[in-house]
Amino acid sequence: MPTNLDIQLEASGSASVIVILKDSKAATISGLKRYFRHAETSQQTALLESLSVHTGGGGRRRRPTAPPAMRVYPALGLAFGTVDRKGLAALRKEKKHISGIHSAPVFSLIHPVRSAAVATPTQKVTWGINALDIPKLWAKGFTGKGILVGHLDTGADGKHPALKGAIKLFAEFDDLGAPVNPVPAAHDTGEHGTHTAGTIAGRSVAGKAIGVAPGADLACAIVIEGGNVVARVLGGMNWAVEQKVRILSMSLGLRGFDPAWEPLTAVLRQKGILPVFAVGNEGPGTSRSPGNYDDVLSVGAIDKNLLVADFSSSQKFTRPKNPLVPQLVAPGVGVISAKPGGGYQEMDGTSMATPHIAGLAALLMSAKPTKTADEVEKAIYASCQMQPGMLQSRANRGVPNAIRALDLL
Amino acid sequence: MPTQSQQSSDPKVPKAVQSALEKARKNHSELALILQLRGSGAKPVPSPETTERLAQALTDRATAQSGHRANRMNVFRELGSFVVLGKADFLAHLVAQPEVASVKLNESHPSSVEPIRPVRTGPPSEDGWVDIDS
Repeated sequence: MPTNLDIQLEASGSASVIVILKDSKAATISGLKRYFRHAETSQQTALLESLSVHTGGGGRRRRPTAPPAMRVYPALGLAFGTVDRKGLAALRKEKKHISGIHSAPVFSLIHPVRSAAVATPTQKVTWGINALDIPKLWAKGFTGKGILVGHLDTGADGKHPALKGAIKLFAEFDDLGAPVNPVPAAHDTGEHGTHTAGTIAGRSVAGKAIGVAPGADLACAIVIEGGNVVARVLGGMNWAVEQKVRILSMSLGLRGFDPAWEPLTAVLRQKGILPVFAVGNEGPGTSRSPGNYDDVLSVGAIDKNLLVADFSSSQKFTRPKNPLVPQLVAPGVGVISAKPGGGYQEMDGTSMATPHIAGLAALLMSAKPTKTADEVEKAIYASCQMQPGMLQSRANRGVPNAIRALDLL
Repeated sequence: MPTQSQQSSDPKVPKAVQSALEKARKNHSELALILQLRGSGAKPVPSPETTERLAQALTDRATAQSGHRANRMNVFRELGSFVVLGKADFLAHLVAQPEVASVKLNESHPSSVEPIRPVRTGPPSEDGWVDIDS
């Protein structure tokens, strides 16, 4: 049965295609280029421009006067171009480098080019990304581009295909919180950090998307494992503030309530940084610091049925502001993300829920760059909805929704 | 040197820190403590410049009072805090300074700060992915 592409080729002799790449290596790209021919229509020019604006793939906002034969969008794991019948046949044989070929959307004057372009090809996303309606923000062109997210954890594997280009800054801290010099290449001392970093800002690879904000930049630091001391975390927090991160994602904490860190979260707030911290995995009636402070966006975990996970911590405090933690819940069971050395793995925990919200905040900040951390947090809170069977004592505000949060911002 | 009773009556010095100081004194060993400086007015912590100046001034003061120096120190300028590795006598004087708001052990045992470890890890399952379309 002929596909849309075949019909289009039959009618006009050429077709615009979106190619889902298995990798974005230079050798792969240059090998594939020969199958494309130069685009000539204004619709293609408009689409190219749209992709450039939304993904940064072209890096320029000017209307391109002579569109290239093929354009690659590494953050999305896509290439776009025009092929004839021979080119398409050749592309279809490149199974080693390509996981899918789709007909590019044809835009009319009525329908906005911007919103359809990014999300058009079929791709796989994690269930968590889907549950928060994140692809609807991508479809509007918001990827977290230009937003620096602090990520303090066990480090992150900078060689993982999904994290290549995502880690803008990296640091490691010793037992007294001093930076290790020379700065090592981005690596993970365990596997926790690669997983959480992938959820915040992992890039699409071969049509699979694990990152909520695939255009955001990460400032990753090793502060935990190999010496679980407070000074390492403080060193990382201090560094993150110096790097001017807009969001700080931490999936770590001290068991119980320890007020010693309160001035530090106050500093983050004062500097306009949104602290997004995990609440803990010890179940009802428990929580961890600093995730249980009243000025932190603390995150609990839900499963695929949108029910609060048994392990997800929750606790009520006797204080006027935000007495109940976590502030909201997010996907934290069966979360697929990056595995050090390559590939993916699933993990369960509030540590996995937290980077979903850090990524969501990055998307919203990229959509409305002038909005403050407090305003973004407020919109996220207001977007939350309780799900059937959910108890407020466990889920607090419930599950946020990306598109609703954007509307409320 | 601050007396035992002065230390124990100081609410900013938790029992765990007191015990660790006593143990370090007894064993003639060193200890690392994290000190949070007092903020003022609407500022939760002192400015980066004040933090650096105060950290130096307080350790100088404690050195003058105890006769010992910090072995190593690291200042968290943006956070209004610093960590000091030193002898118990020196540290006891340091934590007693009025500019210090709170003290914490830079401890390294299971009840300390730790990653919130996943409750389960495994290979990705097919239903963990969702197809999206335009």
